[in-house]
Amino acid sequence: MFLNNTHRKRFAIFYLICFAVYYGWYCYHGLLLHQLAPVFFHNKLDITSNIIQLSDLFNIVIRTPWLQILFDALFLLLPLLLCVCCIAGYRMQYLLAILTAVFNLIYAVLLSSMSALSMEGFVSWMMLPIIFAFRNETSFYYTLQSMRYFFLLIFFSSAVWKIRTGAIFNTEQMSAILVNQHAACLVDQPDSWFSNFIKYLISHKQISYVIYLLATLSEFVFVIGFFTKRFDRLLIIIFLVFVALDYFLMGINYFSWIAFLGCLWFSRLERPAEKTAKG
Amino acid sequence: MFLKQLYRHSKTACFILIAFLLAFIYIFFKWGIVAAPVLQYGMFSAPVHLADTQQVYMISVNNKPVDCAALSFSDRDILQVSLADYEKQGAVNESVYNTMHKFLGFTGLMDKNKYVNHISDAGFTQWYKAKLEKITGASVDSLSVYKQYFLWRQNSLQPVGTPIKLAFIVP
Repeated sequence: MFLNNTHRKRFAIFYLICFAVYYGWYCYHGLLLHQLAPVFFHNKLDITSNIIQLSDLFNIVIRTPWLQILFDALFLLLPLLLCVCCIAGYRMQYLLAILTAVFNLIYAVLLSSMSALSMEGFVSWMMLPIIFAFRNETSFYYTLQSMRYFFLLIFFSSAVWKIRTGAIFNTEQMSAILVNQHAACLVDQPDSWFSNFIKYLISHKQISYVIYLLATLSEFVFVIGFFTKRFDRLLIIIFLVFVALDYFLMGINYFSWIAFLGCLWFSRLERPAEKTAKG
Repeated sequence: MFLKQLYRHSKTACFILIAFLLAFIYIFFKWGIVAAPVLQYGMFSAPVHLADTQQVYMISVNNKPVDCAALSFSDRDILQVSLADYEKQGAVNESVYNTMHKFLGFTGLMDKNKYVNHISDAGFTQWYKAKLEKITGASVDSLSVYKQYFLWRQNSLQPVGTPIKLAFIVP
């Protein structure tokens, strides 16, 4: 089957659902900019962040509460408008897609510099809007495939990092990560069921090391996606298990990356004929 | 091959993709500075050990300890990480300024004042108290925070050294 506009609309709906759930999650936990009402920032060794900071935007946002509300509103409205345009087939979707991607990048820079949230968690909102920039089916095919490779690269590079730093060869790596990640919990409620579970894993280094190895392996297997699309559905399942366990065990929320799964879901659809592209 | 097909479809798109991938690989090997959205995805890759010292902020509101374990992951992060971030922000921002000056100094727009937080300790304490009130649902009449180091020994985290009262939390 050829990739067509119906698939693009389905992807847009999927993206919008993912984004709405994520935004609701942030709102519920008081993590939006105006809810955090930040009073200070901590900069990072990130060239993009520092280019933005040339305008003194961090300090301006901190001292301007209405700007925080505006940023939160745009963070919600732009993807919504983009998806509506994509589904309805309006011409302005190209401009809107670029605007959404750039705005989300700025929003991510601001929020990650003023809270405990990491920039990596926002990467799907920075990158995926570009998929919806094109009305042309062939262009949509190529951006979708490019984004698929980018997602595979993210996961595969995570595994390579663990090999490169030697962490994968450290048999107490996972135990030490768990101590560090849950230190406050282990101190405040050492006898709760969760603390007992974490303590069990910490003290049984072999079990926790196997978990670390499996996590690394699940990242590494994404390399297969560079050679074939045949296992993309399997990669979707591996990813979902990975994200669920990451949240349960580490308390880290990478749910936003679920939006990338649209790239794997639609990857096996064939490239539309060039004549469609020119038509 | 995908890149070949993409090149035939659009040379510009092909060039952008290759540039993006090269940037990703360069940043991967360079091991330091990133350029969002090209980031390093090396989460939990730094080797750590059970003998490492852990740092926990012990928060007391109205002379009662705050049970961080009873909070959601995000609320716990707000209470614990914001203290650590505030404690380090001056040094971190100055260090980032010095490093980034080499790359962006040529613009003439880099100003050290832009890298300084214009907030007093009293202002931060007021903000932190408001966060505590919102998260715990109780009014904060008195607040004290101690930094305590711990070591993993005999299947639990044992305190080491004496707790250090945070001077930037103003009573």
